Amino acid sequence: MTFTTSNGIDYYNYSGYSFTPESYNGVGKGNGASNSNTRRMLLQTVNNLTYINTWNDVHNLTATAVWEATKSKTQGLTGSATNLLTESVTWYNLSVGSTTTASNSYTDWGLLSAVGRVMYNYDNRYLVTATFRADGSSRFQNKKWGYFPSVALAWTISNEKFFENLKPTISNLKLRTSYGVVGNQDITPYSTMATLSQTTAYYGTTPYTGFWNNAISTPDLKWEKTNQFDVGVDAQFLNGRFDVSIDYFYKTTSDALLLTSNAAYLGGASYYINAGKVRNTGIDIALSGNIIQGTDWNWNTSLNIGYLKNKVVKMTADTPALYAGSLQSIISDYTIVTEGEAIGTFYGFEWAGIDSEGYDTYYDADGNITRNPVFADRKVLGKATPDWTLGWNNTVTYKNWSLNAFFTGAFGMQRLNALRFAMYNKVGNSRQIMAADYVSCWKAGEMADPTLADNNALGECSKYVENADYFRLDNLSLAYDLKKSITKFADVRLSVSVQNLFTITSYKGSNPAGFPFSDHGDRDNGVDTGTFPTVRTWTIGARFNF
Amino acid sequence: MKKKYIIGCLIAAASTFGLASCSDFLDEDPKGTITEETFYKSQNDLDMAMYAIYSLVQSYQCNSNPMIVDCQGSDVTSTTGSNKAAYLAADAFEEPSDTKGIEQLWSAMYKIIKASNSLIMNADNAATSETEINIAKGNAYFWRAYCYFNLVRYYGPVVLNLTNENDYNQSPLSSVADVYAQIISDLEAADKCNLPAKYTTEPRAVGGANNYVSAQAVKAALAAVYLHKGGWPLNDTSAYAQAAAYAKQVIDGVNNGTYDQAVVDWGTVYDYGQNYNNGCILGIDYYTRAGGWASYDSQLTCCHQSGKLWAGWGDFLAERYFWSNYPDGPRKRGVYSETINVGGVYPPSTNSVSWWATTDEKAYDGTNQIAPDYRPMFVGYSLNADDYGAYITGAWDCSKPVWTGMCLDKRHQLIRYSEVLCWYAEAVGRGGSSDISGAQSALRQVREVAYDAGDAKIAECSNLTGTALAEAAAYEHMYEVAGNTLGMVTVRSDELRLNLLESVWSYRHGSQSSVLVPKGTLTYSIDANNNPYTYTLSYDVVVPEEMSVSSSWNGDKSIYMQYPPTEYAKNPNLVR
Repeated sequence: MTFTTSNGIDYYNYSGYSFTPESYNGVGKGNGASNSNTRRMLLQTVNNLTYINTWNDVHNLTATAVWEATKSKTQGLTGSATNLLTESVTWYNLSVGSTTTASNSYTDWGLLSAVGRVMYNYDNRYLVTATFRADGSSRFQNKKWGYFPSVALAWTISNEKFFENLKPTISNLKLRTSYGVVGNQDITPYSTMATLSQTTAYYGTTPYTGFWNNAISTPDLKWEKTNQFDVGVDAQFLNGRFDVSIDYFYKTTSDALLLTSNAAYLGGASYYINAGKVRNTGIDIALSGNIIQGTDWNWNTSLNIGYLKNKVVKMTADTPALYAGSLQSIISDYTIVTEGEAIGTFYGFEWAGIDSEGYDTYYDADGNITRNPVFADRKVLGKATPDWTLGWNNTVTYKNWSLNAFFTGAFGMQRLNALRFAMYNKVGNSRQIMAADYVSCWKAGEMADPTLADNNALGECSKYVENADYFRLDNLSLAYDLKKSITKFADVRLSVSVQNLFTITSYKGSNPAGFPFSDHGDRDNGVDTGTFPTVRTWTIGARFNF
Repeated sequence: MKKKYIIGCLIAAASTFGLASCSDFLDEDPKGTITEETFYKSQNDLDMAMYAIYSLVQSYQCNSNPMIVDCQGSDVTSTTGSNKAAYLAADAFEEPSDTKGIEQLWSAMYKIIKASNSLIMNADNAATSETEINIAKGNAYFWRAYCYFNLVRYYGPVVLNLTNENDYNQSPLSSVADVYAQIISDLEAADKCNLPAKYTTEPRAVGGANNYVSAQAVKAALAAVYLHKGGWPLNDTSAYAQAAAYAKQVIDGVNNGTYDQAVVDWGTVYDYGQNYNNGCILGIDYYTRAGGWASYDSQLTCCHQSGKLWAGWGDFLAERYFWSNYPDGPRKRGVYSETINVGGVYPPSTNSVSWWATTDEKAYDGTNQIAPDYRPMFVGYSLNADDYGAYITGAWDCSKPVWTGMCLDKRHQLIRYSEVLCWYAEAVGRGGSSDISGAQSALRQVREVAYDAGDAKIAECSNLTGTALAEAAAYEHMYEVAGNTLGMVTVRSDELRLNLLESVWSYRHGSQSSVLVPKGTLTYSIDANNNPYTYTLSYDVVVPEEMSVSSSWNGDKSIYMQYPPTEYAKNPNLVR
């Protein structure tokens, strides 16, 4: 019987200062300065009571009980000043401003968990694990507690008596299956309470703080649950020389925490509901082995392949679809979350080519070609989540040389190249075309005639939804070991490595797998608004072991 | 061993129970926020509720998106070849691919309605004087009516939300007649609240002008609403009597000094140096800072100018045909820039050309224009700049450069006194009252300031009666508000009630072969060395608008905006 307690404190204090001189804003456009501070204190305690016992050499039991509590409190304070009478103080003296404002903020949340787990195995052949956990979150009102059981079974076939003859070839064979429920409570604290929204109106240079009821109370909101079923097999061959692991999983998320909103004519307030069902199914395969195991040569490889199918199974009658909204007024409603489609599905117009007069044309809902499609003509254009992902690591060694190559890849995904749309069309106030090869694209009939004043160029369109499958050499490194016996003073390892040596992809943008600048990363993933290009980095290193 | 065991247990007990034994460990305590239960109890609560409504009013006009729908009127169009698809769709009577205009107008109006509903339902609970409660309710009734007035003119039948109750997406559309009835009921309730004629404390008054809704603003709005009720689509001619009655109340109040309003000259109307002139009955004020992108900054300052020369958005450009029919005089010189400064952002220049001037003195061929966009320019939202690029105040000076800043607190003028005079004249002309001489005098007051002294149009006023008087007053109002898409009644709104939108469409759909500037007109231009000179036009200027109108006329469907598609997806009743 052991009792372990670990207790932690996480304290975070961040201060920011800013100063904007008039020379930056422009003459007559004012200056400003601000100081801000955010501090957060997070306290956590984890207490674990474990009981281990063995009977008759074949019955092994481990029982664990865990009790966890976490509390976080964040406070912020900001002061800002505008129209500073002297700029020499920069941000160090806010009283110098003709207008000063201050604001502060507070948020807190808490989490309590109790877990009980029993692991029993008979002779290391039959294994059973049963877990039950109860979690309480402060973010819900009436339904703070969620209950999450799970059970796992495994059969180590290789430890059976009838398997003894096969042991030299198949050193380990294990079948496993599990079923469990996990919960999610990741909503903003206080979002279930109908707190009044704060507004600021400014007249002249004076701010006026107001309150209005823009929130809706949702007291019966509860934990989101994901039921996961998994079945898998692990096998090891030739005394651990080769390893295979295959898993099939089937996950259904129900009571998904979905941010929906009222009709705009009721004020359009956003609020969370438990609705909607999302399903993720897939296969994970992990293979690894020492393909060559010699005295001089060695080649070790490990490959991970995953297949994932994501689908939204159910939405609500109130919110049958969620649209992306507008991205910097350049593209709008370009992704959709709706029944039957994956999350991160692109939604827009289907391009019908450039017509004889040089205009962009699109297909409407009836299949006819039009220059000015309407909202009802939109359709699903592709998805951002890949079907297959892989990671492949290889290490080859020859005497003192070693070469490591790590490949990654993803297949079956598309990306909306919004940056390409912005470069090849006259968007925004500057109305410039920035692409170097525009004229040749125009002559080839791929892009519209730039002299047309009223061409309807739309970015949420199949023209810009590109195949983003890629295969990349993420890391290649070559190293040489010099033993102490040779160098006389230390073990030396010299290495040369390069990251991102090459990427094989048909995607025209700079990175087929970057992050969007969006608050809804899961829904709007896959939109390229100009990610920083992935750099190729060469590194030379020497490591000395004294 | 045992000692460690005991100490370990004690530490654990202390930490776990110290943290978790409080039964309120999982309670949420939103310090710093307010809930509805504790609100609307005191005067301060009422004030904060009002500030919230006014913050929503500020944010409704902080950028040009909710006013995109006004491009349908014949005075305003937008820049082609840029991201103005939403504006051009309204201009061309088409269903838009980019729905941001129809969505943002709809949601901005209903947010103000929601906040106003809440105040109207709860203000009586506040422990404060009857006068203050009436001020709060009167303002809330007015803004609710204002929003429904916008909604009914742009969308036709709309959902009437008066209680904020959840309707489970089943509310039906209320007819245009029902919406007008609600608007009038709200405005009459506001009228009964006896709002002050002049507020004195900030923020109810800003810069010495009323920021909150005044009694005369309510009456002026009633006059406008009744005038619209008499026009398309309700065509209720009995409404003109009420329109005349309310307009007269404002005019009498101005004449006897109760209401501090006047007809101001056209150098003053859009002068930032006279931002709080008493020609404006109701305006929206903003944050006095140049530069910003918040909902309390007015981003309209560069919406009238093209981006081709001075960093403007080019959202609301002047249509050439409307300009060509616009009567000359100090008003035309205050609404449009008489000549257009083509110096650019830097270095500053006083070179100012006629908009129709070409580099080779020949007809416009798409490349030989001197003024950007080859069209006249509205100046209501803009300011001039000095040699260093800083804004200057004063009447618009077409020889000075254009200020390129985006944000400034130039007052958004929703209702001006001269509009009330036009409405009175028209209501009388349409039979709403027998006070013909009063109507003629009202029209004359507007014309004396709008036309050059001695212009025949001023003397003509004494002879206008009946329909002639009404039509003259109606067009006079359109000229008063040309280009002012921020106003309560825009040119599009007048063309809607006078049932002229089909002829607007018809002109744009047709050959557009009217002569805009006749042969022989003196033209200001600059030569290849940027030296100014003048020449005489040797041909008639005939130029169609760049945005072609290829849609067909579908009656209501062409006039009214589409209901926002995301709303229709929730409530299938929202269909025309």
